Amino acid sequence: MIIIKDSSKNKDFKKKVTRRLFLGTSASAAALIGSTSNANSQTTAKKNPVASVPAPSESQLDRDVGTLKPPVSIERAAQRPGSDLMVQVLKDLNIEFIAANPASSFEGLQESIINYGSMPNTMPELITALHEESAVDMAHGYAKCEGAPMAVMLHGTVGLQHASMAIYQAYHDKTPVIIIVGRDDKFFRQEQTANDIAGLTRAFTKWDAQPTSLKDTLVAIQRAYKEAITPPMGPTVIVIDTEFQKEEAGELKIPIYTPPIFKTINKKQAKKIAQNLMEAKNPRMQVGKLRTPEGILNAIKLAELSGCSVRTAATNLSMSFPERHPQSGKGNDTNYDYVLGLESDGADVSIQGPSLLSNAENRDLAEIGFGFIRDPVIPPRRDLSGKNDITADAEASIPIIIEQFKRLQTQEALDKISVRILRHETANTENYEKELKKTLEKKRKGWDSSPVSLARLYSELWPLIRDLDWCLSSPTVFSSRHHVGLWDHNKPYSYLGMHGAGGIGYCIGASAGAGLAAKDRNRIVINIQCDGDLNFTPGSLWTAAHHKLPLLTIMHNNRGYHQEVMYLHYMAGVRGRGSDRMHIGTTLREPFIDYAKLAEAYGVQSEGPIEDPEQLAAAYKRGIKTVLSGEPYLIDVITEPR
Amino acid sequence: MKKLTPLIFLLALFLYGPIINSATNMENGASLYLDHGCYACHGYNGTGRHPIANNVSGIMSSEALFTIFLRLRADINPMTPSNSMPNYSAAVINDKQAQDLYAYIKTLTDNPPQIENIPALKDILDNANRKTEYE
Repeated sequence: MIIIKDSSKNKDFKKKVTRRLFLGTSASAAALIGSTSNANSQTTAKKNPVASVPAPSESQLDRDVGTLKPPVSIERAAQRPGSDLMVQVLKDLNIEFIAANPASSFEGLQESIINYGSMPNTMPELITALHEESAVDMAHGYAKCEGAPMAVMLHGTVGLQHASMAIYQAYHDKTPVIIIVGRDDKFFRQEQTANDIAGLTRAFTKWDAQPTSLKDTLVAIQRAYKEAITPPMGPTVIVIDTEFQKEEAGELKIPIYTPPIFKTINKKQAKKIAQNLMEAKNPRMQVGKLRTPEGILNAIKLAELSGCSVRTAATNLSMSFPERHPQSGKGNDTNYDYVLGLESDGADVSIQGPSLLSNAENRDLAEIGFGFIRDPVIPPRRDLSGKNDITADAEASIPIIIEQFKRLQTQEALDKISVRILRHETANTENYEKELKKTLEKKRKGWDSSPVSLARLYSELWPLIRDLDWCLSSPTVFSSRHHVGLWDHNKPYSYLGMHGAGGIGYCIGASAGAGLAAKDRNRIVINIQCDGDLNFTPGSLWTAAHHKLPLLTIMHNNRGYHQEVMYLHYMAGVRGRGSDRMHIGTTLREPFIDYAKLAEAYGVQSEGPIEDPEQLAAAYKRGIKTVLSGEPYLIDVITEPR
Repeated sequence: MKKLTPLIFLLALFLYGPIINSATNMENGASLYLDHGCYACHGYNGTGRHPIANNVSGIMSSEALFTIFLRLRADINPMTPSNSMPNYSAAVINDKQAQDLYAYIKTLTDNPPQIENIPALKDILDNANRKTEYE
């Protein structure tokens, strides 16, 4: 085992920019989209609708972006509140955002977040969530983009229960989230507190603690971060008593943070792998989901050093190898004589981090949990003997293999490798062109159909976003995955993959989280939003509007829970009772839901419903232009079911 | 079993063939298409995930084959959820209704433009190159 420096600790975070600056920097990108006429637009949003609560004043908006600061001298109850130190720990850990729905059990901490420090409400910035499930979904989406966690705050027993499904999904998705739960034992609502609040979600969290002093609380936040980012990554919970948030810290110092230790392969194993990669005539690397963008860069280095062809998972999930890298593809020869798996199956060696089960054994106690977390039913398609498996973190192991490879390198080997790379590049390019033509041919089908075909929904969008920095945040299995083969998945966040555990209601929250990651980075987020899913947690639309998230939501509005339409259809057929009543309980009609109006109600500019496919491209242009200007946009498209 | 399948089809064709030759009701066929959820997999216009528009071969080559196909679909009690096409017995869609349904499906057409006449697809093709930019 070796100690790997925690990259996020020293990460050169991009300078925070205000909303106004972002609007300015996005203007040039907007030029790409060109001018779009609003003549046919059914744009519905109007800013600052009439309401009993006045619109925020200029000075309030300035406070939002950290321009106005609170007074420096404190003359009230606490000179150095404990929660100020908690916020300092979060700042030191580079936690960029903390999402919450406000609650009394963390009022001390919330006050510190928005008032403490030289840049109040910055690192972390408080993100207003309209539901605790949404808060965790946001953290889930953010972490998939960044490879680093953000935090959430939840209220006692009730807030944690609201959030529990989203936590369950983040756990199954091995995604780090720092969850702070407020605990107020003296609160008159005793139902909202408990002796062991974290027990509610213990079966599907990586680690939890309920510290008994302020000092221990600070250590616990640091530990929660370390546990969350160490494989198997996952959500961690710290239950923080209100009294520690409010107590006077006095001279208490913040504990020194020590980065986590990642389990890696040993030098002997690395040397053997390097030797095999070197000696193989046609080596191959299969890359699954790594932890951070830095890991991807190292995987690219290893691929380029060894000249192997690479299978990527970039069209299935985030943090994998770039799809259009010259070596990404089948290569010029599919008879691979050595296959190395990095967080993926490899026929010869498979380096994969520990499974959820290894963690669950210590967490999922039969008395309070599920009787053990389960791994997916479908087994991996490979030799299950496990004789070639090495349980270690692949990302932390790659640099050791690279080091050993460089030691073994000879000029003769280098020459062979450069020839091999050239052959792979040629073959992969030819294959790409051939496959693209086939793909486009398939996309033609139903091109002029109304409702809009899903192939067209994806195809019309690609030329408009191709030259932008984009992230596809929503799971695409229900919209037939038409981005695959068509779009280029080259960035760690190009496609964020599935929900984690198939729980519906994830998309808009996770997309808002991806929007947080994209904000101030001149990136846009595309959310192909299933209609059924949006109705679980539509409040994240408001979060996107309020926090000016660059999020383009395109409704895949098939007016039903279509997977279930098909299942029920088959079941009725098998039972011979007819399939003409399958709409009961599975469709969203009488009345239809107007998603453009729903978005408008939450302050998101919108248009639709669009049934005529000819209107699609113009709507997309308007949407992208708006998103590039720093505002979210929603387009309601009536689509074919699949 | 594979060898027997064509024989079963021929036998069924012989049995069903004479029944399904009366006049068809297109409107009824359209209604059946929606009511029985054909659109779920085949799309509202026969252009969905499993397109059937313009299909002139296989089961759509004759009314008789189409009806046989409906009757011989899978009817095994599924232990896991299935989105395979279910079985349609005569009690659910009778022969006359099957005939109407067939007639309606035959009217579904899909004549999409060629790639060069679809701006978005042409743009994708014209700009196809393996990008080497990545982070």
